[in-house]
Amino acid sequence: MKKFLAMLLAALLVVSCFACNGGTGDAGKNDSKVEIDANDPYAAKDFAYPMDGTVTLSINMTKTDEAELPNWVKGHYFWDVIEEKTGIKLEYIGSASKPQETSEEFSLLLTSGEYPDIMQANWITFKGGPSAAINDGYIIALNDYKAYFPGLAGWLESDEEANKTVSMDDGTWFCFPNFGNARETSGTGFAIRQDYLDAIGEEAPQTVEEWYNVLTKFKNELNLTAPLTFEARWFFLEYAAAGLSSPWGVCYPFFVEGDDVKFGPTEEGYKEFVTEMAKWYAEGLIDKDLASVDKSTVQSKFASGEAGLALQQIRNIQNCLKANAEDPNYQVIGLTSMVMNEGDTPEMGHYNNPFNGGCSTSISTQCENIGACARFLDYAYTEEGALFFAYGEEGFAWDYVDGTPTFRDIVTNNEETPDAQAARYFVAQFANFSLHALDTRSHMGAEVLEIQKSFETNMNKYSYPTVTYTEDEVKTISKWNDIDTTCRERILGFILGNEDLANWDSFIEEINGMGLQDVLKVRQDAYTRFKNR
Amino acid sequence: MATNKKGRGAEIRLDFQKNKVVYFMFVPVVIFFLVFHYYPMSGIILAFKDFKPAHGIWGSAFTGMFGFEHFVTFFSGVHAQRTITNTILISLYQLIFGFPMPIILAIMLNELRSPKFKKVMQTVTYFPHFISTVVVCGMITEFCLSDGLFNQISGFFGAEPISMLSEPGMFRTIYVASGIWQAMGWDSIIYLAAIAGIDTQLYEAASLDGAGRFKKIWHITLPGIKSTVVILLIMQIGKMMSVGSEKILLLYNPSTYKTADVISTYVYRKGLLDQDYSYSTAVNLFNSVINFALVYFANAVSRKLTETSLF
Repeated sequence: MKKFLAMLLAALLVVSCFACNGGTGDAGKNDSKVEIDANDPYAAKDFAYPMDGTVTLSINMTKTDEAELPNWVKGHYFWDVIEEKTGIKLEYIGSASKPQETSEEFSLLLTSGEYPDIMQANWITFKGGPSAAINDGYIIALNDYKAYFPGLAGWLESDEEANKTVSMDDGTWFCFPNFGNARETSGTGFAIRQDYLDAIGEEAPQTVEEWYNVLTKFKNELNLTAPLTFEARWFFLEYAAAGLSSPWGVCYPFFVEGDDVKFGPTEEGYKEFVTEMAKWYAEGLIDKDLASVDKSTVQSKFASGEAGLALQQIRNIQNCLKANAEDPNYQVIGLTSMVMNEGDTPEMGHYNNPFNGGCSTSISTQCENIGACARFLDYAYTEEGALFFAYGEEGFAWDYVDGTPTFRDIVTNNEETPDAQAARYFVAQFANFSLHALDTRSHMGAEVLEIQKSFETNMNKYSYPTVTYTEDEVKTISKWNDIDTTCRERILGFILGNEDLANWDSFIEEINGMGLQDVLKVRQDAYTRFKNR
Repeated sequence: MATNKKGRGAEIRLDFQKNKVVYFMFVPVVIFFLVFHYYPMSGIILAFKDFKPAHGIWGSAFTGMFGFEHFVTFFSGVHAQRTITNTILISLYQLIFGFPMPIILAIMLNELRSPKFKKVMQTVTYFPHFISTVVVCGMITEFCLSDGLFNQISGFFGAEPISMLSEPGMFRTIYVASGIWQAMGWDSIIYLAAIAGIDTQLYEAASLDGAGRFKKIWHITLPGIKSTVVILLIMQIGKMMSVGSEKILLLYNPSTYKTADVISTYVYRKGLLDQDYSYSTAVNLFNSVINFALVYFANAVSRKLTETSLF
C-alpha cells in the first residue's frame, strides 16, 4: 500500500512537473458565444458519413488486439468497422475510466495535463461534478457546437425528460451521454427453483409471510443449507435489495416520494425490515455466509442447488441455467419484489437510472478539430448509427425479420465465443459507450427474458435521479462516504445478530451526529433543482 | 573540536583525491535517490493542501487551520480511534505470536538428525510463501465458509457451523494465524543461516561439560543468533503501524470492520476509492511519523541494552 501510494505520488509529481503549462489554464466556460463558420463542412446541412479519412482522434480506451480476436470476427470487429463507417481514425491511449467510477489511471491521465480528444469518463462521480470538469479545463461545454451533432441535439430537444437528465442544472450539455433503454432499467432480481416449489407443494410466494413459509420449507423439508442467498453488500448497493425492503416502503440509500428525498434507514419501516431479515438469518433461511460470499459463490450455490432462491444479476442467472442445461429438473422462474399483503402491487425493486454518467464521452479542451470529433460521437445517435451500435453490421450479424432486427446464429449460437453477450460485444457496442441504447437484451434466451420481465416494478417513481452538486455542496456530500460505511457496518451487524436491535436508536443517533441531515438537505436541494431544470 | 573538524575535512579531501573514480561512480546512485526517493517525498505537502488534479501538487491551495485541517478532520472523526486501535492490536498480535515462530522453527529444524527429513521439512514449511496473497485469501475465504474445511473439522467435534469471516471476534485470529502459516518457513531461513554460523567447537565443548540439548540451545544457539534476532525485531517494530492492506482488503467485509479496519485500508478507501488524495496522504503521513518514532525508539532501547543497533 505504502509503496503504491509512494509510487503514485512520485508519478503525480513527475508528470505535474513536466506538464505545468498543460492544463492549468482557465479554459472554462467562456461567456463569449462560439460562432461556427457558415462554410464549416462539419456543420453543413448536407453532411454525410463517412468523413474523408484524414482526421485521427485520440481516445482514452483500449482496443482488443488484432491477434486476440477470434477468427470469425476478423474484418467485422466493431472498432474496425466504425472507422470505415465514420471515416475517422482512432488512436487508443488506454486509461479508460471504469464505467461507474473514476479509476486511478484516469486520475493520472488528468494530472498529466495531456488529454485525448475524446475523454471517456464519468464526470458525475468526479469530485466536483461536470461543472468542475469544465471549470478546471478538462472538457468543453457542448451547447455552442450543436450544429456539429444534429443527432444528439435533435433527440434531446425533442425529449424533455431525457434532456433534463443528461444536462447540468443550468442546461449545459457536458457529454455525449450513455443513455439506457427506459424499458430495460432493472437487471437484478430474484430467481426461484420451480422444481423445488413443486417438491414442497407451494406456489410462487408473494407476501412476506409466503416467502418466509417457502424458505422455511426449503430449509426443513429439502435440507437446503442456504435457502436464500445473495451478497451482503447488495443490501447497500443502490436499490439492489429494494425487492426485499419493498413491503415496508423503504430502500437503501436515498429515494424520493413525491417532492421529498428520503433516506431509507431513518424511515419508519426500515427497522422492521431489518428485524425481519435478522429473524430470517437467525433461523437459517438466509445463507449463513451472507457476509463473505461473492457474486461467483452465489452463482455456484444457486447452480448447484444449495440455494433455492437467489438475488442475482440477470447474466448470472443465465449462467446458472446454462450450467444445468442438461438437467430437465432444473427449472427457474423469476420472482417479483415481496409485498406485505395479498394483492398489493410490488412497488420497489432494482432500478438503474437510464443515465448515471458512466460510459459517456466528452470532448476535451485540447481537441483541435471539434467538428470532426462531434460528428464522430454523434454517429451513435443517428438512425443508421444507432442500429450499427446496437446490432453490428446488417447482413453479417443480423437481419430484419418481420421488421425487427434479429441476430444471426453467428451471435446467438457461436461456438468459438463463450456466450452470446461476448459475441455481441465483438460486433456491436450496445451498452458501454456514449449512445442511446436501443436494446441490450435481445441476444439472451427466451427463458431468461421471461425471468427478467418479473423484475419490473414501479421503482422509476422512487429512484433518486442523477443530479449535480454545487461546489459548496460537494464538501458536504463528502461526509456521505463515512456515513455509508457506518450504515453498512451497523445494519449488517443487526441482521447477522452481532448487535442487539435495541441499539437501533443509538445507531440512528450516531449517523445523525455524522452529518446525515446536512447530506440529506443537499440531496433534497439538488433534487429540487433537478425537478426545476 | 575545531581541529578535529578540520582534520576530518582534510581527511575527506584526501580520500576524495585518492578515490576520485569511486566517488564519480557513486554520483548516479545519489542522483537516483534524490530524484526518485527524496524529491517525491516533497509530495507529502499534499497532506496540508486541498489537492485538485488540474492545479497540480504545487498549485493547489493550502487547507484551513494552517494546513492541518485534514488532520483535525481525521482525529475528530469516528474512524481515527478504531483504525489506530486495530492497527496496533493486529501488529501487536503479529509481533507476539508471529515473531518467535520462525526462531522456534529454525531451532527445531536445526535439532533434526536426519538431513533428508530436515530438507523436506524446510521445503514444506516455506512453500506457502510462494503462493500469492490473492490465492491465499481465496483459500482462507473458502475454508472459513460455514460448510468449509474449518467448520467441517469443528463440526466433527460437535460444534455448530459458523460463518467465520463474518464474526468480528475471529478476524484478527484468522489474519494473524494465516500470516504465521505463510511466513514462518521463509522467515526461518535467516535464522538457520545465523545458526549455521555458530562455531561447532562451542557445542562440542558444551557436550564435554555435560550440557544436554536444551542447555545447548539456551546457552549457545540463542546467544549466537541474538544480534540477528534484535535487528529483525527492530525492523519488525518499524513496520508495526503499517499492517499491509492487501490481505485485509481481501478478507474483511462490513460486518468485521469493527476489528479489521486498519489505517492502511482506511487510506485505501479514502484515497483510491473516494479520491480524497490529500486527506489520505495526511492519514498516511501520520502513520509514517509514528512508524519512524517507533523504529527510533526500538533502536535506542536496543543500543542501550544489547549494543546492537541499526543506526
